[in-house]
Amino acid sequence: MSQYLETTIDKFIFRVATDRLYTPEGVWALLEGDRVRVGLTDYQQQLNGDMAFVHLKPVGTKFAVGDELAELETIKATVSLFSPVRGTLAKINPDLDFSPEFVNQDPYGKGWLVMIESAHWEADRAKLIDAKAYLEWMRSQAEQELNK
Amino acid sequence: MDPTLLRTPLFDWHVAQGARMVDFAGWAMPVQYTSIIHEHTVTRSAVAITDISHMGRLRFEGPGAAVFLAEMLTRRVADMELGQIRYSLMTNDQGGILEDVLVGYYHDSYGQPFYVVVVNAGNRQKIVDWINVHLPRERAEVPGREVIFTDLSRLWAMFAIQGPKSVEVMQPLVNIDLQWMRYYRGTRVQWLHPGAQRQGGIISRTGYTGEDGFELSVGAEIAPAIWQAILDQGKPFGIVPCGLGARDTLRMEAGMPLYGHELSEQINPFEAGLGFACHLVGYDFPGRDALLRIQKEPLRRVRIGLEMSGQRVPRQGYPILSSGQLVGEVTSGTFSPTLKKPIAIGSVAPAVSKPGTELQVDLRGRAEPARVIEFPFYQRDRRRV
Repeated sequence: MSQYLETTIDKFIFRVATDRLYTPEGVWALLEGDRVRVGLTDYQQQLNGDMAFVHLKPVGTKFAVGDELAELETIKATVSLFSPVRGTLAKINPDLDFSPEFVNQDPYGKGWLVMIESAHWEADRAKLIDAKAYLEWMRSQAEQELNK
Repeated sequence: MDPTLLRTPLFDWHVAQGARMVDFAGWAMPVQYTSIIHEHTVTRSAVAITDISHMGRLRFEGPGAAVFLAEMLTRRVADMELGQIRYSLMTNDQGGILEDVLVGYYHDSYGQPFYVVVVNAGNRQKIVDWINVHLPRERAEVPGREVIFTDLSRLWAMFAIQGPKSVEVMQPLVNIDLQWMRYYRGTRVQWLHPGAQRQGGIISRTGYTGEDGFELSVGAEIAPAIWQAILDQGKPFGIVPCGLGARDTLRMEAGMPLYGHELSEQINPFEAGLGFACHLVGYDFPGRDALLRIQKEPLRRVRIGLEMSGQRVPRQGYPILSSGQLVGEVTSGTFSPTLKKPIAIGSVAPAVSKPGTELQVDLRGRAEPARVIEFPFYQRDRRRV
């Protein structure tokens, strides 16, 4: 079971799982053996709202850091997500075709997006931030967004 | 929240409820309370209540009011009966759409008749200025033809109660029989609730969702009490508060235009598919002569509905193609929670506007198939009313 940091901004509660690393854009990466599981943070799913469709790149796609990995069609907007690591797409979450709402309901669990066969985890992870740093960054982002 | 934003009488309630508040045309408004899809779905299946107090409400009374409005609006109003409501437009001198409005004809508790023109929040100041230009003192004070114009927007709250359970929820709260109120009719009512402090208001069978329902004008000071009374009445029916996010997806499914998307000063009523709202013979209003000319010319573009077979959602401004050629653009698009597929409203060349025509939408560099369909995307079962 994941542990979470939690923060309340305005009336909203945002959770950040402590067992994984993050990009400032709100994509998480969790090492499992030699694969990296990738998903969207709780803050990003709340910000973007109800998922209508989740479009993932096909298995076998090779990524550099920052390559587009998914396109989320939410009810209000289209959102691109970028890969946090280098590697090859090994598996996609098969449930998201029929239940894209998993991304909203359980962003750190059954709403995961893809597994990437990581080629350079040690080098790539150095560019990611930990849960505490992401929480701080997200707080400043959220305060700006909510005080607009 | 930006403290300079205008607040409706329900602002504190929305915030306490945990709504996500956004700047909508200078107002702090709830875009969603829980989820747009949930609020949308409950509106279709049961009933929901939306705070629309940001809408502009302009009141016209006096012996000259009917003629003055007839000379401002594209559609006849002088023949309206008490209790009748009409959809109309206001156009500029070139025939471009300045605003779309609902005009209602009511009487107050002393029997004095008056008109209420409901305008979009984002156009309220523009329309107030436009009216003031056309209603100088010498026009407003002609003996025997006086026109008194009042902007009621900050004095009255406005709620939309929409969904198949609307009659059941509202009936215990008003002193009239709602079952027999026809669509596009409205009347003055007494609120049957102690929180109303014996104030009356206006209820009309109108809406912007494609569902049965009502819109209410309620005095600002009693608005929170009436809002709560409706939520209490609606509880057995599963009522939810509905934000502006679902209001937008609901109106798209119903094929209803929105100013700033389907309507603008660059679009004339015929191109927008709103020729029915223009009575060109009779009163002379701004833009009438231009519309008489435009009416004889071939249309440059047509408002259409598009249904997508893929899973990508068209958004405002995306190009519409026919065999690779640019033929128009998307004016609104969303994922339809009812049809569970992407839908869009667009403006295209007349040659490709027939229902059934196969087109494409350029979705960020990828052309995806789209079929022209007849409005609306969603139609309620009208046997219920």
